[in-house]
This record gives sequence, C-alpha cells and structure tokens, in this order.
Amino acid sequence: MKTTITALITLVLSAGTSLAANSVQEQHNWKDTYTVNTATPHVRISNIWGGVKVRTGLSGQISVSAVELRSAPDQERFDRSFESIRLDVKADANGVSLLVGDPDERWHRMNECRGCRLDIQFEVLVPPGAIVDVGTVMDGRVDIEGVTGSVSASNVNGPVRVDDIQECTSIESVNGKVDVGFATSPVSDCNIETINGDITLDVPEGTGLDIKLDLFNGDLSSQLSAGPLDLPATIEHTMENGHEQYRIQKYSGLRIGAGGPTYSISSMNGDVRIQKHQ
Amino acid sequence: MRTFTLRATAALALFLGMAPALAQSDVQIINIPLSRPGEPISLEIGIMSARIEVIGEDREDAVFEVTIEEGERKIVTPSGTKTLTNAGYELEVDEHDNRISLDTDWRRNKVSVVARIPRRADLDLSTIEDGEIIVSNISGNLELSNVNGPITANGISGSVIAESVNNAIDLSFVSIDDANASSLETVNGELTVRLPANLGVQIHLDTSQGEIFSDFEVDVQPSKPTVTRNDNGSGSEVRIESVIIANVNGGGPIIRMNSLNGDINIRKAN
Repeated sequence: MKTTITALITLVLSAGTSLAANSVQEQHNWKDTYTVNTATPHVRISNIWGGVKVRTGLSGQISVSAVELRSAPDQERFDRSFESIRLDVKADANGVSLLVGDPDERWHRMNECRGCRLDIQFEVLVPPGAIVDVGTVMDGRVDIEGVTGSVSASNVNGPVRVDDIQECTSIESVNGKVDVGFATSPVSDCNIETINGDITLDVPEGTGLDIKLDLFNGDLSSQLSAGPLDLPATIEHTMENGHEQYRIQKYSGLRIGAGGPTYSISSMNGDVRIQKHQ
Repeated sequence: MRTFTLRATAALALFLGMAPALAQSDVQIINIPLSRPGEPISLEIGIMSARIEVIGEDREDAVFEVTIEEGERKIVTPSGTKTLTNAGYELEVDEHDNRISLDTDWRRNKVSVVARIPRRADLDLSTIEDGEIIVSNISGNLELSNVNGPITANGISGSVIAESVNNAIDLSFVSIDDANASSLETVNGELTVRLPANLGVQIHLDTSQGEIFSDFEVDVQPSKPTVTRNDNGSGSEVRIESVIIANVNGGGPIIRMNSLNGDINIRKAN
C-alpha cells in the first residue's frame, strides 16, 4: 500500500537563491511496502540524481521510502519533464525494480528537457537473502549495510559504501571512493572498481582471496598476510560487426591468506587497502 | 594510439621516475586471418613505448609476436614490504577489411611487437618513449614516427614519411613510388637514405649543423628560397624555406631530407 506522506508543490517565482527566475520545484515523499514470497528476492534501483541507502528489514517484504524532488527551469519544461524523467516501479512476488529515467529509453527526450531533474533519495529495507543491485549517477552516495544476499552497487560521481555484507558481484564508482566490508569471508568472485578514489576492502581475519589487480597510481597495503600470485596472460578473441578482435590481458596477482575466490580490483588514481575486520 | 594526451601523461610519469623495474612477459603469439587474403593490407600500430618490427613475407595472414616488459608493485603487509610482479596490461589487435590496428591501454609497460605481414602493405607506425621502429621488405606507403628512438627500414618499395626528434633515420629503398614524395625529418639525429645504384631521384636537402655525404654524383640544381603564404582567420603565416636540390641519376621522385643537428648521408644500397 502506497502512502503519500507529503505532497508539496512549490512554484518559485524569482525567490530562490540558487534557482533561476521562474524555476519550478515539486517535492513528493512516499513510502511503499511490497510483499515477496521467494527466499532470494531481487531489488534493483537505478537512480540518476540522489542517493540510495539499503538496510536489512523483515522477511517477506521490501520497504521503500523515497523523497522525490522534481525541478525544471520553467513551468513548460516542468510539465514536459514528466514525459522524459520518471520513476518506473515494477514489483511482483520475486522483487522490486525502481528505475529513474525515460522508461521508453528515448534518452534524447531527457536532453531536450535541459535543466530538468528528478532527485530521489531512496531508503530501502530488504528481506534477508535479497539480491541487491543498486546505483546512482550523481549527487548522492550509495550506502548498503547488513545485506546477506549478493550485492551489486555503483555510483558515477560519488562514493560507494558497502558494509557487513556476505557476498558481492560488482562494486563500482568512477569518481569516488569505494569501501567494501564483509561480515563473513566471501566465497564467490567479485569485481571492485573505481577510477579516481581509494578502495578499501575490509574482510575477517583468516579470509583467503586471489586478487587480480589493475592499478596505475596509488599505494597498496594489506593487514592480512599477502604475497604475489602468478596470473597467466589471457588472449580473448571476439568477432563484432566484421571486426576480428584479439585482446591480450594480464594482471598483477595477489594472494591473500591461502587464496580463495577471485576478486578483480581496479583503480587508476587511488590507494588500495585490504583491512582486517574489527 | 588512443590519445596523444594519455601518452603524454604516461610519458610524464616515466619522466618523473615512476618506471618500474622490468621483467619480460612470455611471448604472446596472435595469428590473424585476413578478410581479403592475397590483397594489400594496412597496419597501424601506435604505442607509447615500443620496439616495433614489421617484416614483409610471402604470406596471406598476419602474425604478431608480442612481449611486454612487466613492472613491479610494492605491497605493505604485516610481514614487511613485498614485491608483486606482472603489473597489468592490456593490448588489442583489430582486423577489419584488411585493416589491422594494434593498440595498448594507458599503462606504461614497454611493448615489443614483431609483426609478420604480407609484403604489400601501407604502414602507420608510431612510438614516443624509449622505442625503436624497424621495417623490412614492405611495398607500400609508410608513415613512421619515433620521437626518441631510431627508425630503420630495409628493402622498401614505395614512399616513406619518417619523423624522429632525437635519433637517426636510416631507409634503404629497392624502388620509389613515382606518385608520392618521401621525407626524412629529424632534429638531433643523422639521416641516411640508401638507393639502388641506378635509381634516379631528386633530393631536397636541408641541414643547419650537419654535413652532407653522398656515394652518388649529384647534380645540384639552381634553387631559390620558396615563399609560402597562408592567410586564415587569425592572421597570416609566411614561410620562407631554402633547400639544396640535387638530382641523382638524372632526377626522379622527390626525397626530402631535413635535419637540424645531424649529418645527411646518401648511400648506394648493397
């Protein structure tokens, strides 16, 4: 059942300090709970402006709270923005999908509505075992804690913090630090990546990992015992649009403890720290 | 070459002393079938730091032997600082319609490439730092650029545009393309062109500090400074150039040789 907490329409006519004259804003706060009946429900959130916070809640339900702020430089574009920037919610017994953008994927319409935004701050409670795949693009952080299912998280211009998890698939940023903390030693492979930011991997003592490192600038340190791991070069052959492509790749190898699942860790301008979970 | 900016950045990193200690990777061999076997190909290789050797052979495919100097990375661990070998790299070869390109990512590893390709090929080879370009037995139009290393080409039929800044260029021709001029240009290196004894060419020579040596009798042509004017929206550019023009064996296709601080040699090919 969807509950609208507040619905506030504010027309700002030459009053805002940061907004242009005639700019229009509307804030809409809502909360909804979705019933799921699988042991591993999926929660997918694709945000553009704003953060995503995920915590563990009750079994059998996914609870979503959202603070939506729609804005545009003028009333005409504000009205038009509903066509090109929307929150598309899909829910069934297997999970929930919340996608911000153009549901028809006609992205040029977003460009035509220049200056239009739909900022959303998501707070989500997921049941134990939920598989979480969330991300945003700008003006927000991705913050996930205590999730017991596998986690994928991404940000473009901001940090990603994932803590007290048990498994991850992919944790990525472009311009932001990435912190990944595990409640238990991971047993499956994961990719952790940023371009401009530090990466901190926090794992329990005794964890074993095989790490494929791809670093350019930055220092590398480990509080757990670590040593070099020889990883052979790979040659990948693909055929696409008449192009035969051959790619040779090789990574630095690092074995943590006695080794274990393969973690790909990549940063261009940042340090990589492997920490012992306190 | 993905972008010159990336390469310049990596070059700066090298200059700042960030180059790792080096170890050789195993040789990786990539065999590339051609879209149109038996027809001429084009090959483009642009790598920041590379030894590039291209060998023309009687074949209908292309084979690349790639070796990469791997770096080192330190890791601070509870038992002290350790060294990781095998710093990462990525290299990609693409073939489409007999056009082959070889590119690497932005990392600073030095790459050695030996390419065995059909003889009839146009080449565009470039490297910047600590590199070397060697070409042999190719018939086609060659563009060769090596900023801080030598360029050597043997058994060439066609035309060559070769540029270096701080090193020598040595080209040995079997024949020269009548339609396209060739050019050798460096700032601080020696230029050598080797020609068949009976090949006629016209050589345009320009060196400020170096000497000119020739195995051939040369017929120096009367010449006067050329003035070129380029008017554009931001003003005018006037260029005055004075070169020595010399005919060898009665003249023929133009070879331009320009060095600021190096000698110029015109040799008879063996």
